[in-house]
Formats: sequence, structure tokens, C-alpha cells
Amino acid sequence: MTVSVSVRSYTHATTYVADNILKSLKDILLYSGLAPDKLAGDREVLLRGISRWIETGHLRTIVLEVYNPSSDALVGRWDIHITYEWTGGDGQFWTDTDAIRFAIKKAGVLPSTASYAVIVDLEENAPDVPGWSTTTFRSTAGFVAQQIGTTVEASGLSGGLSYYRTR
Amino acid sequence: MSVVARTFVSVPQRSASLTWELIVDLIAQDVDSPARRELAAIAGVACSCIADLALADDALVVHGAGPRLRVYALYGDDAIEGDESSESALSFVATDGDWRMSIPCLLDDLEWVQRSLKAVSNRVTARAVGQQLAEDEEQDKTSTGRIGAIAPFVVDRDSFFRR
Repeated sequence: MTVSVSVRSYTHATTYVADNILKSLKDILLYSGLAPDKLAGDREVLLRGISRWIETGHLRTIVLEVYNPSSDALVGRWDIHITYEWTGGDGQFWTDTDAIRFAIKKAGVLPSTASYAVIVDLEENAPDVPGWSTTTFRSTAGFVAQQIGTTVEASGLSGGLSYYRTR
Repeated sequence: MSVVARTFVSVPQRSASLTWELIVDLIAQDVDSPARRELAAIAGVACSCIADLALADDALVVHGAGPRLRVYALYGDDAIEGDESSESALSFVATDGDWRMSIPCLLDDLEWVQRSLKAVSNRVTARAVGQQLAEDEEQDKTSTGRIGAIAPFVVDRDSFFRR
């Protein structure tokens, strides 16, 4: 875990959280045994949307769905829930990659043939962002959510991680 | 070979994507150049390495027809303060001639980063943080040889060039 303190703005916080959400998604894929190449290829569009919707306060949750490309059925799912409790510019910014690694050890490696998609859950009236379109979540029937805790923190603007495992 | 260094402000002052855009502007000023297209193709992978703080102590190295260029990034408090940044334009085009680029990345990421780069570029490669480029190692060995066997001396090139 890396921790540092200085006077920082809300813009610094949104930049930090958005970049480190993408880093967290990459780490989840990597340590789960999946190739992050597609995520890297979509990085610009993903960052544009996540940054914009954190700025406007419309972003509730970033969801990484891992699914069977043949059946389209959910294989695994990771959620990063955003909390907007910005407390000012003298707090800590940190990202806990170790917590992600530990959670993946418990969740288990995913099939390397699986595909994945990044989907966001937004508040109503969120602004449109180029490159993003409307979709629906895959069914989580047969899965149960496990909370990990905060893994990205920027003075109260934070991302809390959870994952879904089969019952 | 002469060496030039630049240090860019990065997260959280700038996103990794904006940091990369400015690095590309530095090394391939002509927006219509083949180098620019090649660098655009690897943007996602490069940004991932920047977001992993891989450029904090290890340089992204570009070498072509001109001097060897070493690019670092500042993160956290150092990025916000920006006192150690050096982002001025170069007097040469780093991607002129038969140029090559080496991007540092975390050891755990090395396999997928190398694979991803190889799929779209034959000029850009990756190495693990803490690993020197072969050309740098060769120069260091040469330096040690000249000094002699009494007191072996190896230059910490990353610390030396970024200051």
C-alpha cells in the first residue's frame, strides 16, 4: 500500500480514483488469469466515462463482468462502488492492491477462455459520454456478493470492492 | 551516445492518458508521422504502465537517430508540486530514423505487456522495472573496465540522468 499526504483538490481526487479504478480492474484480470489486453485497448473510452461521471457525481458502481463467450452466462463479477464523501484537500490518497490479490486468492482463478466487459451503473440523468451505450447486466442468479472493503481512497472519494462467488 | 532526460508530471495532477499524450507530443511532434500512428496503437498499454507508477524510478527510453531520451514521471505529492518536472521541448526528433522505445512495467505485467506491444509494433518493447536496457548495461561495463579492477564502479544511470 502506498500512502501520501498533501493539499489536494477534488480534481486531483477524481483523477486519482479514475486512474486507479482502471488499474484495479487490470490487476483483477491479471491475477485472475485473464489477459488485460482488451481493457488496455478500451482504456481511453473507459477513462473518459468514469472520470466524467465521477466529476458529475452520477457514477454509482463500475462492474467487471466475466462471462462464458459461448453461453453468455456470468462466470464471475467484480464491483467497485463509489462513495462521495470528499472531506477536503489534506486527506490521504491510496490504493490497496494487496487486498485485491487476497480477494482473488479467495475467489479463485477464472477460466482463461472467459470474456469480460466493463459496465457502469449510473444515477438518472447522467450525461452521455461518447463510446458508451446502454446495456443490461447479466443475471447473478446462483451467485452471492462478498464485500472486500475500500481499495481506492482519495480523501473520502473512494471505491469499495466486492466480488460475486457461486453459492 | 549523448543522453537527454525529461520528467513529466503525472497522477494525480494529470491522468496517465494525458501524461502519455504529452510524452507523444514530445517525441513525435508531427501528428501525421508513422511514429505518431505507432504510438497511438500502444497508448492503452503505455498508459497502464504509467498508471502502475512504473516510470517513477525507471525511464521510458527512446533511441533513434539523435541522442538517447530517458523519460520519467512524477507521482503523488511530487506530481502536485511539480518542482522536479522538466517537460521542455527537445531540439531533435526522438523518433527520427530507425527508432526504438523501451517501456518499463511491473514484473507481474511483463508478459501481457510484451505480448500486447508485439502485436502492434516492432519498435516498442517492454522491460521489467529495475531491469536495465542491454545497451545501458554494455555502456556501464565499458565504464567499469576503464576505471580498472581496483575499485569497481557502476553508474546508477536512472538516478544520474533524471536530476
